Amino acid sequence: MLLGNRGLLNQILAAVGLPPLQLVHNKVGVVIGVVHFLLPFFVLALLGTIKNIPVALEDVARNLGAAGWRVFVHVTLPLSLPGLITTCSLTFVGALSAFLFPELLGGGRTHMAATIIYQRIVTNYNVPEAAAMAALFLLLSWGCWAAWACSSSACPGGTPSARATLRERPRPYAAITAVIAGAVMIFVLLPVVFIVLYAFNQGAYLTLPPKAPTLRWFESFFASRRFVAALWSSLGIAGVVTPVATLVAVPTARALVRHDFPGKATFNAISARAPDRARRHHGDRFPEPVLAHAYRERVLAVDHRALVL
Amino acid sequence: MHIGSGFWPLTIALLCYSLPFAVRALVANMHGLDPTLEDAARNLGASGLRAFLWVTLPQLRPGLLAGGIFVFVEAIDNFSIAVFLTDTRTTTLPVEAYSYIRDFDDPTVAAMAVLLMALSVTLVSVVDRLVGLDRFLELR
Repeated sequence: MLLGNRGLLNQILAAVGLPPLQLVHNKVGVVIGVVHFLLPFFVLALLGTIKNIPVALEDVARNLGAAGWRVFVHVTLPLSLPGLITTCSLTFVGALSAFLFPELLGGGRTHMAATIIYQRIVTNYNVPEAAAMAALFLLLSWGCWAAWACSSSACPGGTPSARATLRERPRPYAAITAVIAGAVMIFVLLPVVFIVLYAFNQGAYLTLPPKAPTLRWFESFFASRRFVAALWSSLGIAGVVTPVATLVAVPTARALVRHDFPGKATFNAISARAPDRARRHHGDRFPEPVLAHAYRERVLAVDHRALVL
Repeated sequence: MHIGSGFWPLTIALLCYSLPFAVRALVANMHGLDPTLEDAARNLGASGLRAFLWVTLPQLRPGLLAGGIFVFVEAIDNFSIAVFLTDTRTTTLPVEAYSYIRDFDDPTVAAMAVLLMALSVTLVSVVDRLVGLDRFLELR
C-alpha cells in the first residue's frame, strides 16, 4: 500500500517527477519491513538501560567542560554498552526469525529462514526437512545467546573516561538528537497513520488527499463470516490462554526469584533476564564515588524505613 | 506425522509460547518486592500459603496485570505458530487476514487492523492508568 508499485510513496515520487522505485518483492522491501517491525523493540529495550544511567554522571561530565558529543561518546555510550549488546543480539535473533514481513513484502522471491521453513511445510509438505531446518536455526539462535552471554560476562571496556577538557563549548547536538528521534518516530508511526487512513478510505487504493471517510470496510469485515468466526476463536483462545498463563507464571516467577534449583542460571539466560549480571556490570563500570553515593543513599533509605517501622 | 489442529492445539501452543512473557513481567515485579515482608507474616504465624496469598500476591498486581495483557496481546496477535495449527473450522484473526490479503486487495484488513489497534491502545492505557507504564518499563 505504501511501498507498492502504485503505492503512496511512488505516487509522491511521480508527482515530484522522479522515477518510481521498486520497493516491494525484493530485499529492500523486506529490510524496510523488518526494520520497521523491530525498531520499537530496540528502542524499548534500550530505554531501560539508558534510564538506569544516572543523569548526574552526564551532568558531571558537562560540568567538567565536556561538550554534548563528548559526554555521549565517553560517558553515556560506554555505560549503555552492556544493554546495547543485549539489545543488538535480541534484535538480531528477532530479525533472523522474521516471518510475516519477508513473506508479504518479499513476494515469494526474497526468502528468509522462516519463510523457507513455512514453504517446506505448507507447499512441499516436507515436515522432516522443515523440522531439521528449524532445529538448525534454533541452534543458531542459541549460539547467538551464548555468544552474547560470554561477551557480556567477559566484556572489557573500561570505566567512563574521566578526561575532560576544561574548554567551554556550545552544545549543538541536542537539535541533532531531536531530529533523529523525530525521524524514528515518523518511520514507526507513519505507516500506522496510513493504515487508519486506508481503513476509512473510499476505494481500494489510497489516494491523497483522502476523500470523505467511510465505514464500508468495517462493514465488510463484520459481514465476512470467516472473519467473524476468526475473531471469536481468537478471542476464545486468548480468553483461555491469558488466565492460565498468568496463573502458571506466578509460582514459576516465585521459584525463579526466591528459590535455587539446578539449571536456574540457564533458565534465566534463556528467558532473557539477567539482573545479577547486569548489576555486576554496573558495579564494574560505575566510578567509585558514584557507587559510594548510591550506597549511602540506599543506607539512608533503609534507616528511614526502620524509623517508619 | 499428524499434527493436530483446531481450538485446543492452538490454545496449548499459544500457552507455551506466551508463558515466558507473563513470567518475565512477574519476575521483574517480584525482584522489586521485599522478601522480609513474607518472612514477617510467617513469623506472625501465617502458613506459607496464607503469607503468599495475603502478603505477596496483592503486591504482584502490577505484574499480573501487565503480564496478563502481554499474554493476551500475544495470543491475539500471533501468526507464525497459529498458521500451522489452524484448520477450516478454527482460524485466528492474523491467519485469516493473511489469507485474505493474498486473495483480495482492499482495506478490509486495514479496518481489522484499526480495530485491533484500538483494542491494544485501550489495554495499554489501562495498564498506564492502573500501574504506570514508566514504572513497568523501568522494572523491565
